[in-house]
Amino acid sequence: MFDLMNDPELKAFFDEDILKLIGGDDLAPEKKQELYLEIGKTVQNRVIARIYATLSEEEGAEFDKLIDQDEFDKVQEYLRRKNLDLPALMAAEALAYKLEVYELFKTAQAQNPSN
Amino acid sequence: MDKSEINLNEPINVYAEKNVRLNEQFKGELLTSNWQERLKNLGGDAEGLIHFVSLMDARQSQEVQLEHKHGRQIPKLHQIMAGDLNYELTPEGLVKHNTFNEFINHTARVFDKKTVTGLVSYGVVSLACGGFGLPGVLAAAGVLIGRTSVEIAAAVKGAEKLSQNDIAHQMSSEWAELSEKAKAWMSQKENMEPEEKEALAKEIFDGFYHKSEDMLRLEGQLADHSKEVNKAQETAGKWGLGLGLGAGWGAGLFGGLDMMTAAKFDQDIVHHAVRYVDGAWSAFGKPYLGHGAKIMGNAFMGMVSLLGGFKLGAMLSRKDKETETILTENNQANLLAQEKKMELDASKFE
Repeated sequence: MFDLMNDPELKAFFDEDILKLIGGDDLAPEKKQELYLEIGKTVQNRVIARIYATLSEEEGAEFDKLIDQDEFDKVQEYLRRKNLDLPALMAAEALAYKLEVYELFKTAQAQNPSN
Repeated sequence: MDKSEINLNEPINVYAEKNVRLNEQFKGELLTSNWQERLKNLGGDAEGLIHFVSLMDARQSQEVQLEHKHGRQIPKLHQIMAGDLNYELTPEGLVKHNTFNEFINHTARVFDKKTVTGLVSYGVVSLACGGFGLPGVLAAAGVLIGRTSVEIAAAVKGAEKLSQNDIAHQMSSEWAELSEKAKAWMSQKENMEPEEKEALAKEIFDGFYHKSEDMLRLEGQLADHSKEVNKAQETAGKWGLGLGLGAGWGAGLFGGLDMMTAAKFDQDIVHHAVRYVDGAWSAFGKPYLGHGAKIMGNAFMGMVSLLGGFKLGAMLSRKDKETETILTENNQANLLAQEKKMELDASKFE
């Protein structure tokens, strides 16, 4: 189970770039760019999954229609009415993602004590 | 990292059908540092921290719980991921299974030796009580249909559960693969060639992406799937109930007609056929004892055929209810544990 990090570790977790955190700071800039985009897409998918998990079946269908219209303002307005704060959801999911990645590599590191 | 390195014009979401676009400014900040500041701007701060810590807690426990596939709580996110019977995720996308074949396979599993023996016994007893005539056949059919419809409904539900276990196992395997890759990364990253390192990093982050993609696709299909299962159960139930009722009424009607025919022939026949007089069957009634038993059998089996399906259905439903109660209790316990942890976390940030 997740153990709360100590303060320096917590600060590093927040402030460091995700690739630096896992020891990938020396990757080529263009490769980093690809990874950042992949990370962004992943977080976005999680946000969408969370939104649909929160909405009822009927609300989900309404939301689908709004998305089909491709009007971002309407989508945001709809979510606001349902008490779903999109930026906050994104922040929460992005942080959860970052922590999930961080914990995965930390656990892997712990299982390879020689490194 | 310089935020200008991120190409904000790049389409960040590959989902054409569910394309919720990120706020452009946020998209840049999403990937970089200074989260604490970001949370403050969102009005989150410590509250936000606690929220995501508890989120993470839930996520980690999901992975652990996926190892316990039977009878344990699977949190909602994974229920969503594991909830699909009719679709399989392949590199080409979501492929629909042949529902009919799946259904037949699972039905065959449910109709095991014990069930078949039970069904045959029902039939024989019904026929015997009905006097092996048409009413008896109808009564037996009513009971069999009632029982069969319940079995079919159980088969559909059983198929769904099997499928959930399979997909939960798949998700668990994906996580295990990611763990192995992360281990390889941590143990070899200092010695790998740049290309190797890039390739491994890509594999790992692709793995996370595919997990999220699976989650979204399954979420999108969940409602349709639930509808299909419910519809299948409802249809089986309606047919079973309709046919069972028909057969039951038919059997009862024949019993009644038998009685009326006999009554027209001679009221005393009916009277003596079903009544014990003065400590012994009357001589007049004796020859019609079998006939009376048949009439009673028809009427009795008519009732049984009407009620049998309901009774069995209620038993199964009660079993489902028990499972549901256990799951609900688990969920509540989990929520309470999370709340306690959040309180502890909150005190840490005060």
